Amino acid sequence: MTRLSEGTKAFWRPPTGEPGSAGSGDAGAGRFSRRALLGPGLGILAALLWLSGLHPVAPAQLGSLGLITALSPALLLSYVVLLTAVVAELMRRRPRPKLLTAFTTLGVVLVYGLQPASEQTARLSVSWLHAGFAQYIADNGHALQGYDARFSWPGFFALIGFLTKASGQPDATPLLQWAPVVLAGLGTLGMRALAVVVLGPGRPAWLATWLFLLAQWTEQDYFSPQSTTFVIMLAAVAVTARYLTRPPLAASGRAGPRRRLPPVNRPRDRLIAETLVVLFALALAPSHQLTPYVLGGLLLLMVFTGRLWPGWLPWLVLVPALVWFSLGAKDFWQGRLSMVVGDIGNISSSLDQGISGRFVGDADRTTILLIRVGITGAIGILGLIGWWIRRRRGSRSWALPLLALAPFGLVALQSYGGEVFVRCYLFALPFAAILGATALESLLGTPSAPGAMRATSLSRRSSARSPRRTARARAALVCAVLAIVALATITARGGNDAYTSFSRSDLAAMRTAYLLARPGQTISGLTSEALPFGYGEIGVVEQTSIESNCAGFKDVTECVLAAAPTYFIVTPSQQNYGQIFYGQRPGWAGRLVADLVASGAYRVVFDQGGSQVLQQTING
Amino acid sequence: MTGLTTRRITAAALIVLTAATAVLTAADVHSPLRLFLTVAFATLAPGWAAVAYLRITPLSLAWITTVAVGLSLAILIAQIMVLARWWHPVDALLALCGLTFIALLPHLVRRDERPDTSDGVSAW
Repeated sequence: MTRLSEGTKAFWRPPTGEPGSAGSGDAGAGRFSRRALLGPGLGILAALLWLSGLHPVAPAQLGSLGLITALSPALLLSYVVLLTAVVAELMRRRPRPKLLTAFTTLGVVLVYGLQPASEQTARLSVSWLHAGFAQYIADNGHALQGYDARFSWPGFFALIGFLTKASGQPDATPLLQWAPVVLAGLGTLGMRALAVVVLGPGRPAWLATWLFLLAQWTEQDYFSPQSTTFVIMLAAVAVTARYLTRPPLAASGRAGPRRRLPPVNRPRDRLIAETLVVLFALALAPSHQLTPYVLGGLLLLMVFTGRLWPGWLPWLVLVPALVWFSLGAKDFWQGRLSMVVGDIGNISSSLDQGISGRFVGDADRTTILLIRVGITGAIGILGLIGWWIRRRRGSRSWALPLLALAPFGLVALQSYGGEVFVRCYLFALPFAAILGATALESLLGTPSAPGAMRATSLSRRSSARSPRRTARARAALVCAVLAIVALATITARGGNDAYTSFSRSDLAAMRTAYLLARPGQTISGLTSEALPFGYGEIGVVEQTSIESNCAGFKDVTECVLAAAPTYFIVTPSQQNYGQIFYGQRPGWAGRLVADLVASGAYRVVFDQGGSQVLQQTING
Repeated sequence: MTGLTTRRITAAALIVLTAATAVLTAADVHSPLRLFLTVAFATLAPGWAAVAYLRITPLSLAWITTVAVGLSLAILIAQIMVLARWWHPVDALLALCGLTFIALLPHLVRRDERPDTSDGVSAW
């Protein structure tokens, strides 16, 4: 279709042994040699270890460190085995793309499918709430005004409402549990596309894809607008990088905002790419609060670094988002514009809410937070090393490091409810992974040539041992780096599972409350974070949490009696939440239920697997 | 397998997916499978029907563009129905199935135009 600029082709010159390079034959290596079967064998072993180590996990079994404490050694070993297979394949003179694609798919299932496969039902209360928002639109054909800020960007909820209603389903809850595997898988596909476009199809692009896959601790891949719009954003960036930039993002070349050049392709191809980006921007505008602005910002940066040819494209991305904010999201900002713009420039507020404000809870929770910080730092350091290596190789491009840093500009605009750093990392990760891959690729060194190695070893056996040993040591080091990142991410992703995962009993308790509650009545839990809240009866039944009006969980019984909800739900996840965040003793939720019943204000109407529903009595 | 064969097999599979979604929707068959089929249809079929005409390379970019086009179209259709206060998901889905079916058919018979692989990015 297109021929990218000469600069790109020079930059993309595959390392010796890559497909397309001279002398890349696997001389002497038979098609079904042991060496050729090593990768597939390790991949199958990893899958078998993972499956054999998998077992059901309930929230009641988990402590403050979350899921990691409940995982078997065989399951943890499966990640190391899979990464060994990936690195061994990348060390071949001719890595097999189909096999690496299969490994990557397996990696997505092993990393992102861990919780769906081991937990009884979908985790994260907010994913259940999103299903409730979608159901409201499915049933009513419009968003509920004045209920929640997220209804002001209803694109994703309208999409799910459309599909569930058209398929005759009562709600979208069957989609929740495995959504992270699908959405993270699509994100990984988007990362792969971007990596190939920027780095070429060789080993560095695979390393970038794997870094992204393994370092995505943010959990922004659940059933949500941000996960869906992130996939669309990655597609938009990759299409732009492929068809609308010159020189390409990773290439050196004289470039500046006033010296932009048309890419070496046909105008028809550029028109198609521009149309696609505008289509994506139109879908992003009513679907998420941040993503369209981040995309617009990234494209603007490409203009300023002299890479993006159509200078008007960022504005065609930003204008629909601004129009939607002005007209479509009026319900959100009317009467509280100061709250929206008040955070602009208030970096200390973002730092307080996004970092120091999150370090609450017991020592194990602090450990989980430190692991997240550690992964972020490790990816940052790898990216920095990769950028330095690129400079030493002669690349003077600032485009990639600036694109990796730019999302952190959000910190100056919004605290985003304390989540701004999580989102910054997510948006920066694709570009940081591309830079980090350069560091890992450099560490891995030149792939060995089996045939050449054999010939050398026959003639100069002693001197050949050294380079082979060095190559193996380098591969082991890369494998160790990837394995540490993988295990840290698995620990971080499951770190909150003691209170963000749910059992079937929790769900049955919630369903019972929905069945019993009449319009206008109130269903409450101790906290909205530890309950599959809001997946039904949106706008019909009031659904609240006690936490906001119960400072420090000091006297929870009094808090519940003062709030006087019609139905009150207690679950093991909420008990864990109280222990982790408020230092409550084990069994405290049971004592709370006993106190409420003894007060005569409540009676237990549902009790199953530790989940209870209390109904207010006439006295209450 | 040649690119032409792969494209025809993909087109045939998506035509089957589109037809199955349309039939189950029109007949209002109640099954949890229908939701998954509908989501798979919306994510893959309309996007691929359009993107397959564009000769996008590499393959990973073609497929992520397929998914992004499918999601974007479905979001825009749903959003337009919400804004227009014309909420008829079944009718909209059947119309989308019909248009997608028509757009997919030519891929079964169209002669293959080989994508330009000279820049080395034809792989995954």
